[in-house]
Amino acid sequence: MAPILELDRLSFSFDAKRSILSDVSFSLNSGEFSVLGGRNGTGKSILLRCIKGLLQPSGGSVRINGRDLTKNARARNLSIALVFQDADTQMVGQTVERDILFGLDNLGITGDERKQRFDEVVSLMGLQSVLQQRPRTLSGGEKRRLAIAGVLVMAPHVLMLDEPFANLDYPGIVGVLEALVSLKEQGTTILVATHEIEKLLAHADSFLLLDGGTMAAQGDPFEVLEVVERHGLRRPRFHDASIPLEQLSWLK
Amino acid sequence: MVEVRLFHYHEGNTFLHRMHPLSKIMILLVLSFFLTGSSLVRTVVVAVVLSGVACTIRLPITGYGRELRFFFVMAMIIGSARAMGGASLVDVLEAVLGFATIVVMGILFADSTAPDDVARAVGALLSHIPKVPGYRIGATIELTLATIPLLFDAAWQISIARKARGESVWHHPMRRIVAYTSTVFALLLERAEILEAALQSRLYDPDAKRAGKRLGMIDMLSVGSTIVGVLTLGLFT
Repeated sequence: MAPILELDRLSFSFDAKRSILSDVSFSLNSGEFSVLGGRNGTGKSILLRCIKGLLQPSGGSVRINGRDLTKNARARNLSIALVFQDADTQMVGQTVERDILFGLDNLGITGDERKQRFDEVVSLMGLQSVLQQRPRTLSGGEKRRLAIAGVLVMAPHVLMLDEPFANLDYPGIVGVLEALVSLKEQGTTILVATHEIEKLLAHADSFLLLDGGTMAAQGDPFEVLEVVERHGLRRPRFHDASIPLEQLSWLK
Repeated sequence: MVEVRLFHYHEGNTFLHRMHPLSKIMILLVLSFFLTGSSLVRTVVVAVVLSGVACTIRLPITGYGRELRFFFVMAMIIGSARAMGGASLVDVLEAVLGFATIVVMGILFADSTAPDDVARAVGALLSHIPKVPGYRIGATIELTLATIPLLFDAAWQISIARKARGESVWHHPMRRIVAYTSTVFALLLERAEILEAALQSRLYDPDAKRAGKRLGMIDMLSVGSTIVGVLTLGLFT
């Protein structure tokens, strides 16, 4: 079976002098939960925007479900969801309910399908009790879960998140993490860009390590963890080769 | 994070909240025209009915303290101007009560009507006019309303940050205003860029038909009873 997302030698630069991404290749299988790690400024956010279709790569290819969509930014935009780092800036609805329905309005989805999709994401993200609240009155974790619900309702093939734990307290982190684990259990393909790898690796199927715009390492999280310190990331102190990664979960 | 309450809308499930925004606007217009130059008896009847509505929906009147103080001063100015112009006490009362009634109507409307509902209703109404991009107009109003809190938030964050670093209001005021405005503008541009990417990523289509409130029995009853009430009052008072 073809991978759901496949990048081949993807490159991006704003101008000819400075390359932001060069020859980035990796693939994600359906239902895979992958962590894209790397220190600040290595090009993680730019990479996500290139995949999503918000930026056009200067070289290489992006294939989704086996189809080469490198030149078709709109099709990439339709197939892939991206949750940005700043949740406040993504909210456009006056209420949580309106904000979630925003994407369905844009897709023109009505009737039973609209109701079914809405109910599913609301229940999955645990937002039932805040549907009539204004998004700006929510806690940090709820806002992040709302941002996820807002894109998830559009039924994308792949869900990407950019630094989902930024500015969150412990309960907020746990709430978002629980939501991601539920999505993983439902079979959603997830790619999370973060430098806070210790919060996610216990649940990840694969680990992609970006450094200086190139793919420094990729594969099993346990193996890639051995080289993270060479690329500017901190290896979790409590990590010992004898302890399975699953035991390091932030979820009890 | 600054919390800006646009138009003082409060969520609720009263009959006023369930009504279509255009029905409420229509009632507002009918009553405003009726009150213009109306007698004291008519004004009192409308004021009593509106007070009843305010009680029924449990209007959080204490939340409007600042606005009510302002309107109180305005009412006093209107009353004083009338009295100084040689009007009788009844005329003065009529003018003050008429003004107060219109203020209560405005508060009732603002308190029970979400601004995006108004935008959607206006968009849906305009879409019936040939060659008018009604939904686009509605979506533009809605998006503008959604971005206003971003502006307030950016201004507040920068103001707090500058104060925390000991900035004085009186020290080089012009230089301060220019620096403050340009920083707010830069931050807004940055946020607008993220918002634009977020809208693009959610396939924002300004021409998409957006579901708003539908006209229902409650609208027909409310508008109908208002018109009948106004006509009856007009005939018998």
